[in-house]
Amino acid sequence: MLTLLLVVGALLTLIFVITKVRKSEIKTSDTVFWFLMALFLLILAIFPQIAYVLSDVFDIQSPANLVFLAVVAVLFIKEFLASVEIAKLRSKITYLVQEIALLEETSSDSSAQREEEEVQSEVIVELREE
Amino acid sequence: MGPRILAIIPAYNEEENIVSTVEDLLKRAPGIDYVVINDGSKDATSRICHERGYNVIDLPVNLGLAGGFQTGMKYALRHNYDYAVQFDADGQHSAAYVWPMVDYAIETDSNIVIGSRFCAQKKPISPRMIGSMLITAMIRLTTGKKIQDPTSGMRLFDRKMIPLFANELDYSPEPDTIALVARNGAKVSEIQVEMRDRVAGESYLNFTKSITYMLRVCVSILFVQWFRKDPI
Repeated sequence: MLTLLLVVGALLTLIFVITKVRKSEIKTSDTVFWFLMALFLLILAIFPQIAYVLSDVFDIQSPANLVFLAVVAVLFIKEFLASVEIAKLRSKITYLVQEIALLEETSSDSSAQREEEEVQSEVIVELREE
Repeated sequence: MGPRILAIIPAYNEEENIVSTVEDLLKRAPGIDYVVINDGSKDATSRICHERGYNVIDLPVNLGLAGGFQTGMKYALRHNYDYAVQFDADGQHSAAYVWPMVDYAIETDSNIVIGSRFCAQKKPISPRMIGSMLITAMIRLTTGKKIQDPTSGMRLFDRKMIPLFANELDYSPEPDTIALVARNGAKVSEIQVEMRDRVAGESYLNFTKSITYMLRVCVSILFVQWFRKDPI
């Protein structure tokens, strides 16, 4: 039964990732993790002995517990890395918004300045003509 | 009038190499325009470029090689260039080969010309070259095309490729994208070039990055590309 569950899990992961790829909603580099995860589930499904042996080694009561523990641990790390990534993106957005705002300010400054200069030179030309 | 060609030079912290790279282009590839994409460098790259009056675009934040190169492709598209060549700022690429690459592209009617280190020469045995051979084998397996030096960073793209690389999501200048467009019917050729070792500064790929790079390229070429849409 555990085997079936793992295979279904792996297949669903694959299908989900592939639909996202088709819609160009995910970058290839970000799919690597999910493909590896699906592969991991498949390997466990095909060779359940791995779970049995490892649960023996670590004195864990049932192999299912070990699978849970492993998946939770991996997701824990993934979640942590995701928050690091989000923090980075957030600071980048802040920086970009500030840069754009300051850029608009300086460019409107300089265009105002240019208009002023033009008016001045026109005045000079008019004065000369007189 | 001949074709208009743009050399895209992504530069991240390349204060030691940028001057010699641009001067090399000006001297050995006359008639070719260039644009330095300063990818949010923290060193003097930007200041040096502005002082010397180089054509430079400053990205306010670091986007990485793919994002920087894509900026250059967008520039090439906007200014209606016929060819765009990816040119490293670290002094590995020699500008003397840019014109031969363009001529070869015209001659063979290729969409992409790769400046290849192993077109006429054999690959030396090193961890990096084993990776390169593996990628060559995977591309051959999935597209039936033989690309001797898929990881070469010196690539020329023609008019048909520029909008793809400028606008599509995830068209990074990497072997997996080359495999993808080759599978979708683009003609990819190679021409023998010499490359120098890095002149100064540090290489982009360290050990962990190499491993994740290989993983990504493998997954991309072997699985993902079958499901990606063909925007051509």
